[in-house]
Amino acid sequence: MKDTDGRYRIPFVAQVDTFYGGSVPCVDLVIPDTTFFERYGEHSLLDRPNSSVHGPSDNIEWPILPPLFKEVRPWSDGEIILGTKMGLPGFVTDTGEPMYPNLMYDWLWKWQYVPGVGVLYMARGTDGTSCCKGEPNPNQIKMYVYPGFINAAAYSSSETYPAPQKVPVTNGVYPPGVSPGTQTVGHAFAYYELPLEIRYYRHVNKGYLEWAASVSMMPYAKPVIIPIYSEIIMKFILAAYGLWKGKNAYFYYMYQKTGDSTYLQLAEKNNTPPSDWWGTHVAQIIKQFYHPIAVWYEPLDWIAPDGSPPNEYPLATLNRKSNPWFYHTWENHHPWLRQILPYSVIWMNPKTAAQYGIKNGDWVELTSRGGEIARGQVFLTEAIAPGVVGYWKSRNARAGMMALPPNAVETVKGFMFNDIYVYTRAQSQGGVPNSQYTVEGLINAVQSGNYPTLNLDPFAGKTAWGDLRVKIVRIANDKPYSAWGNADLIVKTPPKLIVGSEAWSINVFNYNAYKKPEEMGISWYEVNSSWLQFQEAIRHSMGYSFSSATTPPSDSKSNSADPKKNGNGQG
Amino acid sequence: MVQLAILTDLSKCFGCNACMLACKEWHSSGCYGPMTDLKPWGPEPGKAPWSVFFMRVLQVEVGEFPNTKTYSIPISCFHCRNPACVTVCPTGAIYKRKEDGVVVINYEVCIGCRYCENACPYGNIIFDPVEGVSKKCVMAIDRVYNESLPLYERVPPCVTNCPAGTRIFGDMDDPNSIIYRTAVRKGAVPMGAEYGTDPPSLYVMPGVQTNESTRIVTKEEPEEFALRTGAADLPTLLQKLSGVKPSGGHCEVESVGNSKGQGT
Repeated sequence: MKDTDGRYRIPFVAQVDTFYGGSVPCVDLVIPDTTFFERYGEHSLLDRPNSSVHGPSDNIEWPILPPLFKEVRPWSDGEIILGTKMGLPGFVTDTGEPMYPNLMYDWLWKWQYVPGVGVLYMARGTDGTSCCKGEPNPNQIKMYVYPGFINAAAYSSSETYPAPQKVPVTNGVYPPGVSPGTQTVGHAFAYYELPLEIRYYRHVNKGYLEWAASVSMMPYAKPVIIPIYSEIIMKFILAAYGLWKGKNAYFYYMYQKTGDSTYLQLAEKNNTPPSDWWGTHVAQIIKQFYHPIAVWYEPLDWIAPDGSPPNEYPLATLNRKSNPWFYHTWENHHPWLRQILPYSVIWMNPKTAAQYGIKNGDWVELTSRGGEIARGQVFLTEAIAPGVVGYWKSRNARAGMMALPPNAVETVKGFMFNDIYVYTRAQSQGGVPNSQYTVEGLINAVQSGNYPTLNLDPFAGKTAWGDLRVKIVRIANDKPYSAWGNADLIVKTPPKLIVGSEAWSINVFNYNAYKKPEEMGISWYEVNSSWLQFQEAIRHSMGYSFSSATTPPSDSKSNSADPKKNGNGQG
Repeated sequence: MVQLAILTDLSKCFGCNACMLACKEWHSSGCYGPMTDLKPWGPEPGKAPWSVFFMRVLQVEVGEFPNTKTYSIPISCFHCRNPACVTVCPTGAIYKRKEDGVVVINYEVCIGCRYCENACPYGNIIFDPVEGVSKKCVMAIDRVYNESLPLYERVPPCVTNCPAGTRIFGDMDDPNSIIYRTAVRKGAVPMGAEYGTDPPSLYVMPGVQTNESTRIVTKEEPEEFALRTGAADLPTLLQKLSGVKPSGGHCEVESVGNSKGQGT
């Protein structure tokens, strides 16, 4: 939407989140979601499944707990309700009947990508004996969650918690004499251990390829060979020189879809990069760095004289997205993990640190070519190469994010590389001048038609975090109040802090097994369910009242003063 | 005599801290808890969040780049045969159990003088400022002697939850036990033998060759799982220890979560 000042703005941002996640303070509407324990979900082979080396596998989530907050529905259900109410195709039948009356439960077994292929790959077919391809199976979810709801204590014993079921496989094309074997389904997951004959060397195993094609795992049975010489990259190079005779993929797709010959003309006209600022630089980068046979070249930002040349920015950067305990910042809500790794530091080799007079635990400022500064604390390690600064991105967080108070260790001490990363290329490679790497400078460049090229890997398009080089300066050893440095607002998330220090005065329920429930301020009934303990903690500290279904019953049992009477069997 | 101990194979540990969190989770609801958390969502100005853990994983680095090796060392109380902490305790709150050699602290007797914390050469005792008592690893004996658990699970949670099979539990005084035989076969050594506390919990040094299968064994295969964790020795061991109950902590307090396994 075009604003009154001529700039484009996204008018309204909605977000779905289970917790007070990183984007919550930045959006107009937050739709709460339930946790994995309260909803149906999937880890399908169609998108990032769990894996097994022996064959295909997938798993589901299913509600083993009722929703903790009575107003919250699983968002997967919410989407289906919305689609059904709006009468969208794919949600209602031709006669207007809802296609998924049981919402996500139904969608999991009913929805098909192509006939026979759906979200879950095992226990397909009306009787559950098809693997990977088969009719939707109304009992598929029941088979996946076998043995279904059981008492928590029963999980410890193989007698009360039987192993997943072995279901015969009756579909698919196998080499002569090879038995399909069984698929394993239950405990909310499923896998198919391929018969030995088709398990190994799968890229050229004829039996495997023919089986995979027969169950639509692959479109055709053809060996999978990695080409040394890439014809596709050569096409890009020809296009950069204006020599490629192919068509622009987007416009050609639109032509195929609509049959409008205008799109065909556009597809033929736009088969080379455009001749504007952005296009000429993209063509130049393709000519210079694309090779049909893999070669090594220095990162683009290191080669450009106005980029991050090593003589000006001596230190290379190394980043890890995740660390052993945090994938991105998802685990920040877990207080025990938060203590294993309280904040992100800068890792340096002792030899490099000594060159700058930096000792273990010293505070430094890192500067990038964008002119921004970020502060961090140095930890010395021999496990990192000299001339490199390393850090774990997944521990970066700002106050206001994830309900962190302004004086949280993440905020006050944590190093935030996003502050100094430069998102556009050097001017000589199609970006903006380093002095213009500001909000105003970037907007001016776009408005004057010089859309800057972005600092991405030239072929993969992945953010080139590691290509940026930095200068380092040791600063006073007393801890700065803020590790923010002077980072520009363009990468500084949100200026408005909506969480104050009250966040860390939220009462914490410390379970104490030797104290009587009354001493802890709870009833015996609640002691026997950690879920109810949690509810009680929320009720006390936030004044939230839960639905009656989860309120402790007021009969004599729950109010019994004699804990031994009800001591066992409720856990 | 019985001396319960844990053997840790440093050639297998990759430092995931699953033992540390499994330990805290178990003891949070047992008679050796509570595992106090202080301000877990944010610090007092200038203070980090703080929490009671009975075990931790040290990160050790050897050599110079590029010939660097890093090791993760899971460490919890070694239940020394000559425990320094017991010697200095002025009240007798901390003592070594005759039956199984486990060193425990009776929270009802402990006065919080923190001598034990200073005496332990390994830093294996932690002071809980909320309860005002010292706390430490108790080899999860409230689990070992809990008859309501399946046999193969009656070992400490740090042992059952290790994805790499790094830790083995058992009787170090029994030359026929899995833990003893593995320790001898792999040349296991104590940490800091020079302190003279004679720890029965030993370490297999990194790089010791094994011919073991690297296949991951899970609880889906109780028999193999029991062999891997040392729980296969429990029938013999528990015969010797029949009638033994957990002691120390708050276990003797007649309330919820006592030695009978209630509340856990």
